[in-house]
Amino acid sequence: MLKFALFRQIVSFRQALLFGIRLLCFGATGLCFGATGLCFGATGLVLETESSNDSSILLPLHQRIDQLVENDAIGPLASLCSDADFLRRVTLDLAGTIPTAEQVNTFLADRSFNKREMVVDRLILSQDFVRHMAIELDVILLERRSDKIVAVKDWERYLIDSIASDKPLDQLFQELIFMDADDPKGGVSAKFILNRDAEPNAITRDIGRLAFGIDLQCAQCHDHPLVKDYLQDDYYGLFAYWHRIRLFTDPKSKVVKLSEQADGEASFSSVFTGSGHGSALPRPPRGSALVDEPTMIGSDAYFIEPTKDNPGKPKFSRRQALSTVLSNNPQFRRNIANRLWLMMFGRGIVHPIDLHHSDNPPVNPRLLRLLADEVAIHNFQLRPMLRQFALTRAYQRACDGPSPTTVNFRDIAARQVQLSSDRDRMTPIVESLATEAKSSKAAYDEILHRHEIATLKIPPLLKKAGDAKRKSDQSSPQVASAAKAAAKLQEQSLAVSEAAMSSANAVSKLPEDQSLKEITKKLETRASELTSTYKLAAKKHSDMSASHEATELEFKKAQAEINETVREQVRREELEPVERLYLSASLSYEDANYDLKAITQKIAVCELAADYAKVRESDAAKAESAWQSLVQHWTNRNQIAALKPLTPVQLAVSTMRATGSLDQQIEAARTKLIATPPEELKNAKESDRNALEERLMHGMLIDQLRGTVTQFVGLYGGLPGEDFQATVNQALFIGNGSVVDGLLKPANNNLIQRLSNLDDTDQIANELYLAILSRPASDVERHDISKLLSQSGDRRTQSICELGWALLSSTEFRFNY
Amino acid sequence: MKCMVSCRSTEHLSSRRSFLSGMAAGSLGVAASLSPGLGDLIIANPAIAAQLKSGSKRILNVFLHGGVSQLESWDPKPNTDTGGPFRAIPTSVPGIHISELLPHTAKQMHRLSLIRGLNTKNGDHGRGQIEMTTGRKRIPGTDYPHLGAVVAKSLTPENFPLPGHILIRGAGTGSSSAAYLGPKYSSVVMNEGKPPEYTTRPESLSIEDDQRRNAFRSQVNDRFARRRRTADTDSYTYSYDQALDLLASREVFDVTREPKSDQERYGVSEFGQHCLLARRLLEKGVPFVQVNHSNYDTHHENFDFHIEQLGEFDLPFATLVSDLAERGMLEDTLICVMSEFGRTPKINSRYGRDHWGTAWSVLLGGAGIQPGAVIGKTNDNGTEVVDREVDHGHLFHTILQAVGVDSTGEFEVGGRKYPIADPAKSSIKELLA
Repeated sequence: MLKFALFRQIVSFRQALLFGIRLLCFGATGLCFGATGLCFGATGLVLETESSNDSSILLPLHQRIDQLVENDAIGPLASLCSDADFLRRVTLDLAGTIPTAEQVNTFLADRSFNKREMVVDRLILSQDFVRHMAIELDVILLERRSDKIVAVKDWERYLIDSIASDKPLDQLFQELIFMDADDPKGGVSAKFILNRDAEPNAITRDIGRLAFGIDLQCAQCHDHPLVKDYLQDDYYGLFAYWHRIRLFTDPKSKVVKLSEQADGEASFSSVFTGSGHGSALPRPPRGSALVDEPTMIGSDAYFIEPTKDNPGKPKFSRRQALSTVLSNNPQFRRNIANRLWLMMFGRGIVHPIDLHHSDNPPVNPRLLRLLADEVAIHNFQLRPMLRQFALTRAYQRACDGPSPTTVNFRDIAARQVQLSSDRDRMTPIVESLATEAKSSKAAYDEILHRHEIATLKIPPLLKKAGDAKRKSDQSSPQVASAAKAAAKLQEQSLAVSEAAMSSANAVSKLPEDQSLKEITKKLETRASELTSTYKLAAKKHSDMSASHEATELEFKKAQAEINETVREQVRREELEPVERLYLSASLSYEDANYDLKAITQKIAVCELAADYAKVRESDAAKAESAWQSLVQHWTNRNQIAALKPLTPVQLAVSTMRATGSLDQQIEAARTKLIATPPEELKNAKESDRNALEERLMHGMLIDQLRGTVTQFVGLYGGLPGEDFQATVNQALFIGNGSVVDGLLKPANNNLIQRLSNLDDTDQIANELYLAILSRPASDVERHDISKLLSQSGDRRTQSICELGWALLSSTEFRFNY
Repeated sequence: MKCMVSCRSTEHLSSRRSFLSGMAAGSLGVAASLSPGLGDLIIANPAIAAQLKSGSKRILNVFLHGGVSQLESWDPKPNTDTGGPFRAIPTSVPGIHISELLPHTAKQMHRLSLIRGLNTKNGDHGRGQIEMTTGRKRIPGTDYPHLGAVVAKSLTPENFPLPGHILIRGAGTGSSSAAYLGPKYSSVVMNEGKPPEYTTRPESLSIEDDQRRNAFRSQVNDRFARRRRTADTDSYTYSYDQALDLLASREVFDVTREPKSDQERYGVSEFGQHCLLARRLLEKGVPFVQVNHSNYDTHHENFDFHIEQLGEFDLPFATLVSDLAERGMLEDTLICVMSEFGRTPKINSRYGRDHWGTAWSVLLGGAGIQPGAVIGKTNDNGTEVVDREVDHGHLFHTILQAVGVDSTGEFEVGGRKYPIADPAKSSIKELLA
């Protein structure tokens, strides 16, 4: 109870403590893996969410995941996989390669009860994990776009350092979206935007997909009215954060940077072919609209105004505003949870992973909600979440196809009855929630619309004010100099007039003096000239000054109009309650709708099972097809492990490991690093040195393997979550290309050379299977190999090579099972 | 959503296997003792002939890189301020005239048709190339599949051993993307007309060695299939069978196997040999072949360059059209000659013409295209379209419908739907036979 109370307190002070908790997690990474204490701590934070109940509060996350998966299962749950399967699977998923033969042997011989947990901890703390995840992140974020602007090595180093330091993923996204130009790393993280040519539509789409799991490009395709509105708003809302950016090329250094304007509202007519109109103002999917933007006139809006020599720096950056809202955005959390799940299970809980919408429900909505909460509780860090996933039974299940005889069809039929009644109970609830969501959206839209009308009035006013200010700034010195000129003329004219008067006085005393008369005449003429010139100048000054005052008045008027319009804008305090109502109502509707759809899906699985049971005796072809569909459903529901195709990088690195070339590459990198240590390593503290050396070595390794990896990537392609495709080009590459051929040539004590020096065919068989398929050969397999080798005569080495090739090209090697 | 195994029904799988092993057994006695999937030594693949007979359609796309001048080719305007020095000559279709630079093609006009009302509103090479070959307006952040990928996905018969989308081009780089349709449908490139990459066995590997190691591969696969077999594992093992098939029919890529007399008829130029190669591939049933010809970007000396380039183009192209017709293949083979855009009617100070997408032409013929037609019209000096204006979107629909693909349908890939062609556009109905 004490613990319980304590955690409640943590919950209530969560915001205040967030930073502290982050520090704790950060500092205690090592601790976290060994002990369960911290995990319990984390569990406590979940009290507010629906997915925990009293009995499960103190369970570690992996057990709560299993509860949800298993409670939701329909039909068979596969048993746990063998140790060999587990080691291969978890090494591929966490270290990006198959294990070494030695690791397999050690693991199989280990008798510890918790050896799976121990191997998970070893892998997750390894530098292989860092390298593998850096590559995964690179693929996720840049999607294999052609390289440009920021050097690949700098980018890779940035990702490696991010993973190694357990940088929270929300922070990573923050940095990708916005990093201060003065930050030395800012230039590197901007690669995300620069590689997309800072093109606002491209970035809007990719931020939508990668940060929120919503592919907005499809917004036009959906005909569900609610979804349609929702997604179009999302597109407009996200786009508004991005349309002010562009690429800036430094005219001297030719360095390409980002430049951001402080003004400009988006126009959408070109984005969609239809006429639809959405909010023109920034708003992230399922998040708060940006209504408290400061309004600043002209150059006041910039720290540095953009010119052709300087990208400039606005005082208020919209993308910076976007970068700060991710952490608390429910859709961002769900998307991160879903993508992390995909990394380990090969399929998203929502799949395709960037189509979170009401017609594509999560296969297990409660699981996704739990994980979205846990992602935030675990501070958006990869390691703790992936560790928990790896410890689940769901992850550790066998991949073997089940036998129909093990399925209890009567149970499934009973389940269907229960599910149908659940569905009937839920349907009206969802309908009423939909109505609520719609009406709260209408209220929200109305207030936002009001805000939009006011906001859209501002840009022309800003222009007017800016123009007036510029004009007034320009005329101000002119008025002053006109005043000065007039004053000078006035003095001159006064002086001459006085002189003329004095002179006239003199003439009155000396009326006969002709020359004096002439002088006086001259003076009087001059005085009158000067007076009229002065009058002209004085008029000019007064005209200018009047016009200046008018301009100033215009500026003040515009300023007043702006202030007035700003007052018409909606205040955050005013919007907040309406927005909160709308966001929570639409989330409640969405969740209930997902729950209902998930039930409907489960009923469909039950029906499929019933169909199968009906035809299994009578129609073999129909039965086979129904059975295959059932197995696919059970796989999607995590009741059987999926066969996950190796990514091109996993395939390349595993091929190199299997043939013995990876270990040579690692040695080469290490030798080089020790021979010529970079400054960074030389200057490192003794205590950090080993870890840094490992990390640098893996950075070098990525570079060394690039040539081979690129060939695999070019042929196998594919991004996380995409469908598997096998092509004839790939098979030709494995069959005839020089890469695999070279790896299988006996040399440098590689696999084939070592095996060709062995006499015992059993031993050859075993080592071959251990090295390539990460398991010992079975008796039958040993027998087969003995037979083949005994027939090979003087072609023995060649035969071993062929056997190696066959294992490398087998389905067992191609898939992570 | 993953394609369920049921999409590839077990009948398909077993028929594919029996088909492959049957071929192996039938062609050479020794193969009978090997595992299924070793159709290695098959020279004449019966499937190809069967496919050709079954009347499945194919496309030949000739892409004239740089932007061919419509005024020096399909839409001449002699004796006008924009017309340039060349005459217009009559063709085999009374009333249709084309440039005198294309005398051989003119004789084939009764088999071909012209679209003279193209307005693609673009003068950028990269964008033109993408928009003309994908039939879509380029949108940042979205990639659409190349026509070849769309055709390969729609028309490649099951068990077809050759690639469905082949690009024949001169030396250089570049291939045609399949975008969301996946790597299976991106172009297999025949750089300088040479066989695609990896279609030559390493010297140290004999056919027997390859068969032996593949037999063992099948054995390993069969063992794993007893643990778990899915659509993915099936398509993976099948890709190796397909590779062996392709190696067996590798000489398809070797144009020197064509009769000497044909090689001479097509001429010694690279483009001539590529046209002959295209004929060879189309005869073997490859659904989509694109031949690139460079370089038409004639900002200087437009007229000299067109004499040279079209001089190289004309005879081989006309020969190919005539051969396809004589061999009865034209009714199933659609021919298209396109560019990224046309060239300006205005002749610049260097006797060149610049980029111009406002009023230009494309040539189509064969398959479901009505022969001898001219659709659309430009004004007297070619500065604007005055009748039946169309763009790349309409062209894309038309090409696909001419080969029997419902271009208004959708592809379903990875759980989402993609319209095959731009839903806002439609085909040029009057051109479809």
